[in-house]
Order: sequence, then structure tokens, then C-alpha cells
Amino acid sequence: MKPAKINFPFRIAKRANITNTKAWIIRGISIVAALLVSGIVCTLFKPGSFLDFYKGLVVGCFGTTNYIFELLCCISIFLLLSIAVTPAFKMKFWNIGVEGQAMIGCILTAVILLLMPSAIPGPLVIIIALLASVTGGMIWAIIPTIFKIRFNTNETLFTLMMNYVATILAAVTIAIVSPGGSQTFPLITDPSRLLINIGTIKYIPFIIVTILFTVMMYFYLRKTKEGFELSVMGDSINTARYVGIKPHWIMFRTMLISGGLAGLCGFLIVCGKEATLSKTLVGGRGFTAVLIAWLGHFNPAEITIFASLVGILEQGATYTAGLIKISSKKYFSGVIIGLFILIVIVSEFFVNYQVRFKSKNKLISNNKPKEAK
Amino acid sequence: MKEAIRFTNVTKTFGKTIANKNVSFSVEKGKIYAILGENGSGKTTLMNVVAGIYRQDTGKVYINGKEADIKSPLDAYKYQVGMIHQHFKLVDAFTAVENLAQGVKRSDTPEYRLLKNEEKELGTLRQIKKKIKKLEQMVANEKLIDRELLSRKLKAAREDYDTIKSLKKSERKVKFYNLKTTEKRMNTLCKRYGFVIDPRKHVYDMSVSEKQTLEIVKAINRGADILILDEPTAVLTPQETRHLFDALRSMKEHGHTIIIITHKLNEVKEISDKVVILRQGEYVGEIETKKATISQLTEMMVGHKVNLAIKRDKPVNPQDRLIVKNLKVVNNENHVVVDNVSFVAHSGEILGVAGISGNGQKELLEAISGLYPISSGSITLINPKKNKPLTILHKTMKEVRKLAHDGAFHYSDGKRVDLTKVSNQKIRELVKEKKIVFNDNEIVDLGTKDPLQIRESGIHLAFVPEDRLGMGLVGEMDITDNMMLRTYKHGKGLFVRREKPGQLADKVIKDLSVVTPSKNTRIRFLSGGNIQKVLVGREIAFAPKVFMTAYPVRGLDINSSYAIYNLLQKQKQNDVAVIYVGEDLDVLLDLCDRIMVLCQGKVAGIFDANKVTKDKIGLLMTNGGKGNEASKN
Repeated sequence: MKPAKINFPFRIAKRANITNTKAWIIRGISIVAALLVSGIVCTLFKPGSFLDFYKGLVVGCFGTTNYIFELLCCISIFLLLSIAVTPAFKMKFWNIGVEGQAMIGCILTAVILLLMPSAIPGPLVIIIALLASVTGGMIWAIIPTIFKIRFNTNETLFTLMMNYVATILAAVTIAIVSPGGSQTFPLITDPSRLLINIGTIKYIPFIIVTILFTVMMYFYLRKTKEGFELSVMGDSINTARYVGIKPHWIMFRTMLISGGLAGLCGFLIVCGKEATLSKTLVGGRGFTAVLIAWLGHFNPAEITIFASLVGILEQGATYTAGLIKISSKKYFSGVIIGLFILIVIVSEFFVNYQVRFKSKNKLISNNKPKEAK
Repeated sequence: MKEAIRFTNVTKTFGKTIANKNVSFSVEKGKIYAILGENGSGKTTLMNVVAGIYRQDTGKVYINGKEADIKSPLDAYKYQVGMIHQHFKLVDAFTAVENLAQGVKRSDTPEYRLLKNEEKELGTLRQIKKKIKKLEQMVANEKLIDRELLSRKLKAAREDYDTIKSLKKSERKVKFYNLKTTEKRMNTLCKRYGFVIDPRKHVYDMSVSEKQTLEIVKAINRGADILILDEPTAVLTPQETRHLFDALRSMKEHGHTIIIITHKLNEVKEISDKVVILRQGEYVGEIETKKATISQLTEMMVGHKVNLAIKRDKPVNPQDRLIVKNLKVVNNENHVVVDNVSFVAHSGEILGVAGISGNGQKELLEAISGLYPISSGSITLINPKKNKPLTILHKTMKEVRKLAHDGAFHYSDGKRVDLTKVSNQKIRELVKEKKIVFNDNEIVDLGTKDPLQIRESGIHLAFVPEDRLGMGLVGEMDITDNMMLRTYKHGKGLFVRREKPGQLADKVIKDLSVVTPSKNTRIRFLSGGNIQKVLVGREIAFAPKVFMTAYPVRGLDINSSYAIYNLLQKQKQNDVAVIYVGEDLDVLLDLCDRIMVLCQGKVAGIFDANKVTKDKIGLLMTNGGKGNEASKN
């Protein structure tokens, strides 16, 4: 029995070297292609809505000042979560648990904001909630790390599982706190305990904090000694050992940063945006953030670009869904974002490899060298 | 003259790199060929084309006169080509026989081949039957006169019928998958060619040489008539090499064609009948070994004349520098990997460490650099500080005060140093003005220090692993950042400083003539030799007291190798104690002043390089303990 041999009319070869411009051209093409495909998918949901999709995208994101700040906040969630996973990814520690780490931050913030006695001044409550959520996120991140260090468990699976534990914890918290078994967390109404607006500008604390941490992460990875250690670790643990880096300590330290940032994001989601708790508060954005960090090659600048695109699609697609009256808005934006990421990931293949088509006379080996033509 | 293999205009490219360019030559049947060329000259690629690992872009390969379309290693066996790669492809958990039985098909057995050959000549059973019937009819026809001839023909046909039938019978009987028969066949093969191998031995228990033998037997067992060996002697001791060559010669006598890929000239001279030389992927020429001289071969290989002698100066004023006493190191699996090793490395001298790889060299060096935990024993560095000013790069103020209290220093004008009432600020000033001077050499116990402190005290390690990166270098970083690996912690503050490493990168690139587009090129994109230069250059740049290097010329071409040897010589002249772990015994003997032989983690002997032979070292490498006693007598 011989496997059938197929002679493909093309060959796939690894690219020796690719300039940055060329790589970004390929990515740009893929982004445009992704947008086109999204429009086509939109017509599948509702025939004849091809152009409505793009209209919805523009209006939904940039239609009013309000929309713009909604958009910035939406981007901020993706960006902050991506920034949280980046240092861990940089040292090839696959922390896909930001979803859960952020969720823990949400739970702690919501509970503290709601249940602290009203005698305590608002700012103090906020600070307590901030510290608690950051610590919570850190703890959630550090548990898998300790297991990894002590028993060499697989961090990917462990952090993934921790996500589900966090979601269930959220459900339990809601069940306990919700009045009269309504299964919904009460809205936090005390404005002194929330950071949603400064003046009339919506979500501005969230956005400012995100920008701050993105810039800091950029410098942390590029310019600091600790960031340098991360790069060394990521490339080769052996080399790290050879130059006197202690891998376990770096892992521990970095996961503290990663979990802490995710916890901070959780805090901001509750205190700076939603003012309540629900099981779907993070809503899979932690996983999307993992993909964004990956697409951005763990470089905060590139991550910002991809996070913005995903944010635009999320908000725009949700708006479009309302515009053309698709009943399940959430799913629609999910499909669009999924397609977008899929297509951009595929483009990475073309960045790394080139496809060369074989001409027929090349298959039959001719003795003359190619330059003779 | 019969051809075994003929290449016509074979070209193979990987992306932009051209591995082979229009290579055309042919290999005679029943001879031993050596394919000679430097690393990266395309020897292995070309042979991989024949072995079915790669396919040529253009050009043709003929095997035994027929055009061969080799798509996979399995196809290669169909053309009776077997290749023994540098990395063996054996199943560790299996015994020799079990490995041999892997993938053998009925069509691979000699019985099958014999039958097919006979059938080709005489025809298949059915054809002969037809023939007999026809003849019988003709004989029955009474009209024919030439009955005698016909009956003779008939008789012959019947005999043919019987031979084919018996061959078929015996072929049917062959249990090609049966371990017992495989073992039998293995034993006959070994006897015929003079291999020594225990069929029941597990691969994980085998030495490198045994594994290699098994690979060769495997290839022959699968019917390989043309055998290609990729750098077979790289991992063998001189004795093992001799055994291999004997076996290869006897295989040649049995009509096999053998091709050896190598860059070792003396082996080429010893074993081959003809040499084919490749340079930068192109065919340079071929020459009969008898008529060729070493210098002629080098010139063809490198493209210009090369002086192959290593100039070795006598050590000047050697002093004890590094003292290792009864060192014992246990690895993760609780095996003793370095066993009771004691030696002294002198300044201004190169101490060679010989041994088959995996006999404790790596662990020994790592233990000295603090990267591997020590079970027992001591490592002491004698820092030549006598009458030299104090530096506080790797000492805390507390330590300085303690040393001063113990009377380790005097002022440059000869007065006793008392620091009890001097402020830290003042001490720093004194140190800066080089006013505090050591009384005597500093003795540092390295057993208690961590890798960073050991490095700071002047012990540098450049270990080149098999994949070249991964121990001391980061492939994804540029040269500057790789320079910075050692010093990124220097200086205050949060941020790394790239100016000094950048200057160092420029200096290393210039001094060692590293070929690179710029210092901002990721070193993954450099060639092996240049990567090694970066590593060695960086370690040397910090003026080490002890410089340990393992396999620094691993996979390098002649020019780069000699550049590295020269660097080591220069270190020796600079009063550094150099410890050189190498593979090539010829080089060890030429380069080093003393040679320590390691065998299974033990010291099998330490010799003056002028007074020891290659054979003796080779013997000690394989059976250390016994050899040691012999050397004492």
C-alpha cells in the first residue's frame, strides 16, 4: 500500500528574510480582506446589507462623541488585557488565564464597592477595591506559577482551568449577594465610589490608565533590565542560566505583573464602566486579548494597533447588528471578530512563507540554469 | 568502469542560499569515495538528495545507470542507497535486532532479490511452464527431425523450472519479520564484514560507535549497496575509527560502493580511493587519493593556500590558577557524572580536556562556573592580586572592611591599611586612586558562590552546544544585546545601557572579523562560525583569569577554526589559564600544553602533550580505569 502521491502545482518555501514594510503590507492586505469578508458575512445574515455593514462600522464607532468614548473604552479593555499577558508571553509562559484573573478583580471590586459600610469615604473604598482586585489577580496568576515551578505542571491548562473557577466564583457571588434570589447583582449607585466619568467625559479614567500602562509596558520590555531578562528567558532558558538569571524568580515576578494588570483591568471594568457584576462581564475578551498579544508579536505598539481594530469591529458590528435588526448582536460581533482574527493569523503564514507556483517546464528539469532565459 | 551514481547538473537551493549549484560527477562502483569540503559547502545536502531527504531543484541523478526519481528515504532503499546520518535514527528502547527488523519488507530480503534476478534471466514459473508445454508439443510432433536438440531444450527448461520453484519455496519460507531469523542474518552480516555487535543489546546501552555500527548493519540488511556516511568519525575515538575503516574496506571488497562525507584530511588519505571536492556548493574537482597531497587537498577545499601548523609557545612562568580537588557532581537522575576529579589549571597554559562527549566534560565546566551543584570536593581560584590595586566591582564594603581587618591590604606607599575609622566614601576614593593594594594573591573558594559572582571573579565559560545557540547566546537578539547579556545588570537604575555593549560589539566584529551586515543583525541570521566568534569574543573581552571553552570550533571551516585557535593562543600569552574541551585529538595535541583525559566522569590521566601519543589518549578515552594503571607502569 502506497500513499497516493499528489503533485501540487506550487511549492511552499520559508522566506529567508522579509522587510518590515513588506510584512506590514501583507498584514494590511489581510486586514482589508478581513473587512471585505465581514461585509459578505453580514449579507448572509441579512441579504443586501453589504454596504450597511461599513456604514454601521463608521457610525457606530465615530458617529457621536459618546460613541467615540465608548469605542475607546472598548479598545481599552482589549488593550489592557493584552498588555497584561504580554510580559508572560515574552518569556514563553503561556498565561491564558487573564480572563479569570480579570474576573477575580471584577468580583472583588464589585463586592467591596457594594458592601462597604457607607460611613467609609468613597475614595478610600475605591483604593481598597483597587488593592484587593490587583492582589486577587496576582493570586489567581501565581497559583499556576507555583505549581509550574514546584511540579512542572502545564501552565496553559492550569491557567485555563482557573478561568472557569473564577467564572463559577462570580456566579456564586451573584447568587449570594443578589437580593431576593433575582440572580442579578445590584447596581452600584453611589457615585463617589465609581470612576466612570471625569466631568462629562465618559470612561476617561479607564482610558488614561490603559494608555499609561501600555506606554510603561513598552518601556519595560524594551529598555529595562527586567525586560531584557524576559527576552533572554523567552529565547532560551539555558542561556538565561548561563548568564546568571534565576528562571523561577523571573517567572514568579512576571506572573505577579501579569496577574496584577489583569486584576486592575477587572477593577476598571466594574468601577470604571459597568458598576455591577455579571458572569459575562469579561465575556471572553481575555481570550481575544491572548490572540491580540500574539498577533502583535508581544510588542505593545503593534498590540495597540490590533486591539484598536478588534475594538472597532466589536463596537461597529454590535451597532450594525442593531441597524439591520439582527436579533443576537453579541453573536454577530463575535462572528465578525473571529473571522477577522482568523484571516489576520492566516496572513502571518504568508509573512513567514512564500508560495511559488511551479511552471511546467520547471518540473521537467532542464539543464540550462534559470538565468539563461 | 561501472557507475554507481552519476549527478548531472544538480542544483538545490533553500530560499536565497544555494546549497548546490550545477554539480556533475560520477561515482564508480565498488570504490570508497570521500566527499571533501568545508562546512556549508553542500556535501551533506548533495548526499541527502540521493538519500531521499531533499529533492533537487534541477538536474538529474542516475543510479546504476538508470535515472532515479528519489522522493523519500524509502525510495532510496529501492535504489539500494542507504545513508548513515550524523544523528542516528534508532529506537532507544529496542534491542539491536528489533531495530534491524524495523520496516524490513519481503522485497528487502536477499532471497527475494535472488529469485527476482533468476526470474529475470529464466522467466517466471508460468512463462517456463508455457515454454515446456510448447516444447512438449513440438517433441510430440513426429515430423520434426531435430528431436534431440528439442529434448535437450526441454530438459533445460525443466531444470529451470525446478530452480525457480526451489528458489520460490525458500523465498516463501523466509520470515523476514521474525526476530530469530533477523538475528541469524545479522550475525552472518557482522561476520562477513567484521562488525562486532551484540544483537540483544538495547540501543540505550550502546556506545556511539556501536550505534553507528548498528546503523550500517541496518542499511546493509535492507539491501543497501551504496552506502553514504555523513561524518562518521566525528564522534569516534582513533581505535573505533580504525575498526570502522576496516569494516568499510571489507565492505568494499564485497562490492559495496561507499561514500564518506568528511572534512578531515588525514582520514580522506587513509580510507578513500578517490576524493571529490566541493566548495561553496560547487564541484571543484576529483582526484585519486594516492596522487593527492594534504596541502593540495586543502587548497582545493578552501580555495587558497592555508598554513595548517599550529604554533605552540612554551608556557611562560606558569602559576597555579584554578585548583579542583576531589570534585564530585551528581546529576538529576542521581548518576555520578563527575567522579573525584582533581586537577590544577596553570596560568599561561592551555589545558586540554579529551574525552568522548558525554563523559562529564559539560558538567565539569558547569560545576566550575557554578551552574551545576557540587556534591563534594572543592574548587579554588587563586586570583593573581599580589601587589595589585583593590577593585570593588564584585565586593561589598563589608567584605572590603573584613579583608582589611584580616590584613589583606597595604597602602601603595607601604603603610598598613586600617579602615575601621574610614568612611565608605573615603574608601571608594582610595580605591579609585588605586591606593589600596593587595598583600598577596587572593584565594577564592568558588564552591560557595553563585554563577554571577564566579563570573565576576574572572572565570569565563564559552560552551558551544550542538545547536550552537542556547548556551550563552540569544538567537533572536542582535550582537549588541548579546554582548550585553553578561553586563546588563551593571550600572544603577532601571534601564539597560546599550552604549558600552555597542562599542564592544564593534570591537569584537573588527577584531575577530565577524561577517555581519551590522551589529544590529539578529545573530540567528549569522553563520555558525560567526556566531561562535561572537560568543568567544565576548567571553575573552572581559579579560578573564580562567577561560574555559568547550567545542569552540564545532562545525567551523578551517579558516575560522584557526582564527579561534589563535585567539586561545593569545589568551595563553596574556597569562590566562585556558581550559579547552575539544573533540579532535590532533588539534588537542597540537594546541594544548597538557591534556587531561576524562572517561565516565573520572580523570583517566593528565599528560604533557609533547610526551603522549594519540593512540594512548584514544585508549584512555574508551577504557579509562585500565588505561590509567597501564600508564603508571
